[in-house]
Amino acid sequence: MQKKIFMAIAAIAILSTQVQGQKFYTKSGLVHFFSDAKMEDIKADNNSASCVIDASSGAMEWSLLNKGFTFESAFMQEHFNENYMESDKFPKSTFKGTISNMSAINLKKDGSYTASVSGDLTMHGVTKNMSTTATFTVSGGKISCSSKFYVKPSDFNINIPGDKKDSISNNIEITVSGNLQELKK
Amino acid sequence: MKKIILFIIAAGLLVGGGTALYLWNKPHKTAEGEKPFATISADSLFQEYFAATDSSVSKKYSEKVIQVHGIAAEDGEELQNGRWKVRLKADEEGMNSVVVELIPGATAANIKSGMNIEAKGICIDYLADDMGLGGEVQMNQGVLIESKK
Repeated sequence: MQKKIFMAIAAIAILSTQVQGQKFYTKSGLVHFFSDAKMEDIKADNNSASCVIDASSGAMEWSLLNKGFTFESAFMQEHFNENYMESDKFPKSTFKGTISNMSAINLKKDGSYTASVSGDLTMHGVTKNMSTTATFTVSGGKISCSSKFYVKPSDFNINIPGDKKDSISNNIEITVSGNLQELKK
Repeated sequence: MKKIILFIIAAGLLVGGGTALYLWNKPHKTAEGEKPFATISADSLFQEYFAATDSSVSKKYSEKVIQVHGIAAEDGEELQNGRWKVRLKADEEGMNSVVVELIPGATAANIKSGMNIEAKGICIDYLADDMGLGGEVQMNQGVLIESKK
């Protein structure tokens, strides 16, 4: 009996170590940009954001190419890249952070988990610390994550000219989501 | 004289308004029906970006129509917003890749891992491997040209 209990504990310990040592990723994360201003709404999607999450440490990283955003209007897209993001000079935006309550999230067990995330968001050459929450949903082995937060263009040295103040919000809504896979190496 | 001034103002408003309307509704450039700036294998394109020490390769290909051929690294993938993308291997393992996101309405449902494929897209840029996921050259507004087993 004692041997059986010992074996069961050992198996759980090994399994737990394996889960905690795993990394999960997507190369097709969706980042949605939404500006709700007095004159108009502006929306854009980037379907090719990369993300990796280390289940042992809770480290989380996101990276995307700014030119990968597709706007409804080609004209808006040009302005976004040339006048605001200066995408030739600053081609990437990144987030490097940590999930502080990773121990409460089991990516191998069905359920919905709320994660507390904080870290550094870098865009337009400026890095700012930020905190938000993310939701992980595990269902039948499929893992998805999503989060919504707001950024102020002025925090990232992105200047909105006076005549555009009614067209571009000073608080942009960013929604990120991704279907995660286990990273096998 | 007054009529001439009014005519010039009206013509100016018409031209200005028309130009603004055109710019506002200017359609997105897509690779569909466009002659490619370059036709290249996925691994050669990737290697050019990977070996670059400055922005010269980005400037060479950025926003241009590139036709790329190679082996599908995975099945065609339907994205969260309903678009599809294909991933071409840029090395033996398929860790590094060239990714082409297709235009709305185009599908890559029949693309299976290991198939030989050729696709055209508007080159975005190179996302370097900073996270251990492999690097990728990204394109969008693309179309599939050919696929065979």
